[in-house]
Amino acid sequence: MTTIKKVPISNFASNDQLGLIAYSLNNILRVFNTKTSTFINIDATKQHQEAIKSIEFSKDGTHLITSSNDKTIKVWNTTDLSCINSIDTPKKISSAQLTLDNKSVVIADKAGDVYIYNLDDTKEKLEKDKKDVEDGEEKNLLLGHFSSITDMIFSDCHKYILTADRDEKVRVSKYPHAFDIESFCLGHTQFVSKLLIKNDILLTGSGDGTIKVWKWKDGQLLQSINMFDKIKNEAPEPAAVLTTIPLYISNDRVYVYVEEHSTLFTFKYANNVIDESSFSSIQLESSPLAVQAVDSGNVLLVSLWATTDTTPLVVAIDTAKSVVIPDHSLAKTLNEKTEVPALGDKELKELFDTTLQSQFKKYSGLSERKKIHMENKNKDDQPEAPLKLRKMTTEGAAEVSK
Amino acid sequence: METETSNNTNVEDTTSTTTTATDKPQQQKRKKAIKPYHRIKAHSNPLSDNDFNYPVSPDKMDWSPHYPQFLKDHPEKRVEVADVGCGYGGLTVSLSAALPDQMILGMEIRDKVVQYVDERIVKLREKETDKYQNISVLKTNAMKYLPNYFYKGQLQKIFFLFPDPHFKKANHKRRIISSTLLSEYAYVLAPGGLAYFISDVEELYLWMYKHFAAHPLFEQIEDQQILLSDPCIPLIINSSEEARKVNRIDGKKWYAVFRRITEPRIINKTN
Repeated sequence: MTTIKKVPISNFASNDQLGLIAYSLNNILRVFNTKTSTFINIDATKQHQEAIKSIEFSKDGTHLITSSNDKTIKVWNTTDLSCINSIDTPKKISSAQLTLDNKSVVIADKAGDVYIYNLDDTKEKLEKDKKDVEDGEEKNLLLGHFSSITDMIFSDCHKYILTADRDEKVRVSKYPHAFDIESFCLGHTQFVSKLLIKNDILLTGSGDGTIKVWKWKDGQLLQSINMFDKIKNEAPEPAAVLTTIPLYISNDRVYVYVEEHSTLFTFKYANNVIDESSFSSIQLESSPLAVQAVDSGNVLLVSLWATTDTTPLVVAIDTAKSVVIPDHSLAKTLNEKTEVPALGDKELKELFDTTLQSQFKKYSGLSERKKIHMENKNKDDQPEAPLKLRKMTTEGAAEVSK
Repeated sequence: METETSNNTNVEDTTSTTTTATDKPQQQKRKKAIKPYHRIKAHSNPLSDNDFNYPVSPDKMDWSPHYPQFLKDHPEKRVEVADVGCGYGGLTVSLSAALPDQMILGMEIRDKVVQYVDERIVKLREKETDKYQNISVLKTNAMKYLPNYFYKGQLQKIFFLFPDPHFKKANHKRRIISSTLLSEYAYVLAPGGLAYFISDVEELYLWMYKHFAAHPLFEQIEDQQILLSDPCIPLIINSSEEARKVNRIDGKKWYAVFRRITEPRIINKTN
């Protein structure tokens, strides 16, 4: 898949109680009220400038937080979708989360640092804090990886914060005492793509083609599912790097997506164990991009990359039967009513290249290069002569200069 | 940094505590000074993706090639001392006798230096088969891969000797001590474990001191009695190649020791 025909829905979020579904098309945030079946008006001047990277409702549903490639975080009030706060960040954002009290926002960036900003602070103070960060001050710094952060989530109890990085690691830090590391989840052999948490259990996807199940608090690996085996029927010769992304976990099912495959994979899940034999796949019109459970988890909305002009934006899946529901009313409404921003081929290509999933290509490309480098190096090293070294001393230096 | 003069010893005596057996073969090689042998970069960019072989997790690490004899005698032992940025191995080698019951690991990022230390240890073991069995070296980026080698709370001591100062402000992120990396060092250190650091660059020393002092899981050891009775202190001051280089030019050195504590200290951050 190298081209797309129209702007897809890249992020989803929903709140069943309020009956709101929020989603993004490129830089545009849209919020649909399922109770009144209308869109909520959002001030066009307040929209992000560049593609939105994440949308999330606060735990109590009063706030909505969006992050974007334009290096800003916006916090919205869910009653009238007014923009309460807009924060510029110094670096590109990987993930943004509201704290439990909705008073602060925690931002993980691509440089590997996680900062916390207080939303009650005045704009001037936030600006100053931001500038201090640029100057190397660290007072808002919560934690940091020596690698790019790919995803960050809070545990359900909000007492821990989990961060994943390009160097295969998942770190579990206490919150708010994030200087105290509880554990590391180590087992992936490629960058970690996504974190999905349900109580004590963590699901991770990675460029190594596996989905792993962890007891995150102890860093204990419970299960590893190799998706290479599962896609054999579809693609006899899969790519060397396969990025898996866990999409959704319900009480009894897990949904997984393998990058660039137009299939949604699903497993039965019970007592913290994924039943590998229960594997089934749902064939879609094109590759899925984002999912969101609605209707108390009975229905899964799946957005698709539009590879043809007729590809729908969204399809609905019955989570109990694992089949596509044809003509699902909500999916139908969204498909019909959503105004898709018109973009030229060049912009569409750019959008495709900068969207989350494609970002992983960069990482896998890097690891590929690393591998090739290692292989070449090992070849060169074969007839290794014993290396005789001695340290450079001041006398030695004088000797050499003579 | 009001504590600078009161708490920290300014070391000026140049008596070397280690007369290593390695000086001799080096002396012989000195006749043949071939440039490429000397040309080892003093600096390394820890942020660049280098080719490292590292275990996926501590479970997957096989230490037996590193400590063949020692692990045969004490199969239950684990590495308890890490010399981060061990350089030419001066400290690692001298710790072998000072801490005979503990497994000591030198970690270094520069390929050729690691090979040098490796050879040095092999030769020392050949010479005295019963000694130097508890030390080893490996090439790694300690800023990235410490949790791949060590379990939580595995280390009793961790050393940072004369690290790269990275003077440029833009490169401060590459310094071996930072508040975020200290959290990782606290993770691998056992409660009560000690972190030693020393530098001949005042600016860097103050930087390291500031970050240790600001980390809630570290507490400075200020009791001179404890410091004087610690056999590692003279070694960090004089045993490493870098330390002896400083001695030759009569340079100053600053050091401090911090303890890993379990209950976070309350630190008032002055904004």
